[in-house]
Amino acid sequence: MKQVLGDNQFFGINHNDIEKGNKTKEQFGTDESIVEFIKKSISLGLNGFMLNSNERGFKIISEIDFDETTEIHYSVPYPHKFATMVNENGMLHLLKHVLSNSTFNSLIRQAPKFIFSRNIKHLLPLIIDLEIPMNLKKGSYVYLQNIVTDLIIGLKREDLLLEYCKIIKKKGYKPGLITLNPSLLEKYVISYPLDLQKDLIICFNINKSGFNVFPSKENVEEFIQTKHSFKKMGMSILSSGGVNNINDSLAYIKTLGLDYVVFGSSKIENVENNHKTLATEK
Amino acid sequence: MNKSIIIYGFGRMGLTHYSILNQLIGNADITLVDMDKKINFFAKKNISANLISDVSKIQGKHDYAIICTPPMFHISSVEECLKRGDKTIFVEKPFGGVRDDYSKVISQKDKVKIGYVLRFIPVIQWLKLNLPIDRVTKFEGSYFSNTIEKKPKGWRNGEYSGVCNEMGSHIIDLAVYTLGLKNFQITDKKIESIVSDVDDIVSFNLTSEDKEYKFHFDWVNKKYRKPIFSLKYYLEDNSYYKVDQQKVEYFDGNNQLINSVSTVDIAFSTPYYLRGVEFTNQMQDFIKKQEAIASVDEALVTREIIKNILEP
Repeated sequence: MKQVLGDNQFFGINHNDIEKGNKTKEQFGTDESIVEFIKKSISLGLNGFMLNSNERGFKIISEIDFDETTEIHYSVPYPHKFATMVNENGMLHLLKHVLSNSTFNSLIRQAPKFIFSRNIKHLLPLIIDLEIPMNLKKGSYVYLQNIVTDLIIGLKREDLLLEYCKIIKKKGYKPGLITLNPSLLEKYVISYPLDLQKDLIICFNINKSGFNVFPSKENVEEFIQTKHSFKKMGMSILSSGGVNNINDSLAYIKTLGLDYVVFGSSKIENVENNHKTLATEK
Repeated sequence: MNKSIIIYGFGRMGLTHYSILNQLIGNADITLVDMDKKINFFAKKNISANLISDVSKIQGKHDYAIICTPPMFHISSVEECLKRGDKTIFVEKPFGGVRDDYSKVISQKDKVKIGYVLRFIPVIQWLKLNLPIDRVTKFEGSYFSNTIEKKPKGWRNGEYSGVCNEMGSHIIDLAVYTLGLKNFQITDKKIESIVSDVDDIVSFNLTSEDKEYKFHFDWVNKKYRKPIFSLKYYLEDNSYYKVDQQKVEYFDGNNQLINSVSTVDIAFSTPYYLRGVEFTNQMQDFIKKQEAIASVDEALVTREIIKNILEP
């Protein structure tokens, strides 16, 4: 099971304790402090790290060279940016933002298809181009954030998820889909071309307490145990810091047979302890 | 037979409710009404629902009507739905504005429910069951976010918007929901416009029967990446419950933590997750038992408080 450093602590996100999240954000006030923490974690034995395409994540990936063996798991988009845009100027401003920020070449390729069909599918390459830094190492994973994946599932526009995966692959990256509805997503993904499934990671919540595990812990355990061609990554494995017994929680995660786990902490010693516990034999 | 659903307004909330209902109700005929022709122009090719921009073209009665328009259209849309004979109507908060006439809605108020979604957060549901409301003497509610960074355009910079209507109404509603706040007397208020031309930071106190209430709302605070609310319920012995989105903590009069309950401790399942379990829980309650969803009477208490705060 590969281990990936999460990025919530860098950006003040704590789904179980918002005040704690705000405090850790202050700890990582500079880009250097984030990069140093990532590099320390990698030196402890973690396989890679995850970063979101927010302003700071984008900048770090654009400017810092990481070791060739370090896996980069990059997630798009930065939901807060788009939510603020809609709050201030309405839904259509999103479209305006995408069109006005895209390169001339991208527009020439995609805009006519979009204007002719009005199908948002043709805007996806433009949106993805805006979110991925030029310097992102080829072969890295690029995940679609759960707010988008799950909205697309709700809209019953699963074709957009397949399209997303194809575009990411075409750009030389590997696709990832973050979801809080893994069993619903599974229904669609199992019909994807096999070579695409083999490159794909589905990332979802799983933890011993069942915190934010949907529709239920039992259902997600069944999903994990079912044999699939795609890889499975567990997130929120420590219930966003809400568990009392970390060793019990990690022991539970080790029984599941996941391909990847992603976890974060603002303390490097916690990263080290979690890594050691997860790396030891069952 | 398929359930027929009509959704007014296809912004963020319309999109959210559409997605949730799409998952909760297997066979539904959904009509989306948005007067913005540009939105309809693009949505038509991307959503498998019937899209309408002209309300006069709406036909038949619907099992569920969902109103997510900007608030200045709330009351006229509800009237339209009632006139047509739609069975159950859901209106997003804040349910109109300070100057709207609610008299036509009140006559059929049992058909209308208001979307104060924070009621459906698991810790709030726990609180509703466990708070000893007879012992509560004082309530404090606050809301902070960085929602508005630049001056908003259109109605979001007008009397139907502002932190009281958009965010504060949720906190007032939580006082209404958990404590049964009804008759009130405003004792103190302060309103500031920082980024928008309407209320950005609001503080006020009120009394109701034997309880004191203190509110503070601020949606232009750069310290907060995500919206955060906090509630405090003081009991007669100075002990208190402190509540946020994730947990309820009970402290004694010396600020010593006695016990706490967090979302991690509360087992719940939801068939489909989008933006938070509370959104799905709210729609499940609306289409089934309607036990926790806000009534018109409750929403009008919140409306009346906001009216008293915002009007000179």
